[in-house]
Amino acid sequence: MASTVIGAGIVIEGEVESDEALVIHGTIRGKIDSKESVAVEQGSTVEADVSAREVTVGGNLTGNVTAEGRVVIATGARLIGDVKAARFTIQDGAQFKGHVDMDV
Amino acid sequence: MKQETRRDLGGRLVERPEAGQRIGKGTRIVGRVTGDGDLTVEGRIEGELGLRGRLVVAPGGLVAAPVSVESVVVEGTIEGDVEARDSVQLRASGAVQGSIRAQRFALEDGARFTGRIDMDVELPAELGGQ
Repeated sequence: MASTVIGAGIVIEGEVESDEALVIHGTIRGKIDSKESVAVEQGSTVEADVSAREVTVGGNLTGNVTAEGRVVIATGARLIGDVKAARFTIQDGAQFKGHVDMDV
Repeated sequence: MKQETRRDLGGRLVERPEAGQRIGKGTRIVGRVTGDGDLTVEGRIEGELGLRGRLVVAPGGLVAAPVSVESVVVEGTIEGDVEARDSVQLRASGAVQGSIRAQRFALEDGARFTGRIDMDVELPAELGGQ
């Protein structure tokens, strides 16, 4: 159970800082900074630069993503932006446009 | 309000994605939060908060923002003016610095409050009422 859940009806314009898991069903425009995982769930819209330990994209994410660990774009999801992460997975059927830096 | 059923990334069925939404105690939001549904704040919101739903500021939670909601239960702290279309309940553990405008306002023993309270009260004629 994630500690912070942004529901489908919620719109945040600004900065979100967290040191616990963040699950987003709603809309965030701005910036997300988490020391834990960030899950952009199906149906959500995120227009923000995201920095987290781990990022899973199931919805629409526009912005640059930086993760210490893994970034996953799930089937049916879309990520437009640059990814800097140790591990990066694009599942079959996901959409991605941007630059990837895996620090190799 | 979106209420369609969907699955989350773990494959679990989410019946009402707006239900159970909360800002956990490790989370801080600076900016504007708006929308539908109920929201529990255990962390911090700084900026502006407008909700068509019920807000719960849990113990330890801080909302430093003007707040506009249907109803609100304050067990933590609100620093800012509160406008509720229905009720405001300020519990014993809670604190509000700011003005309250609501149909109903309940102030529990032990709660801290500084500000003006404006409930829609019909004034008697000698106080300028009808």
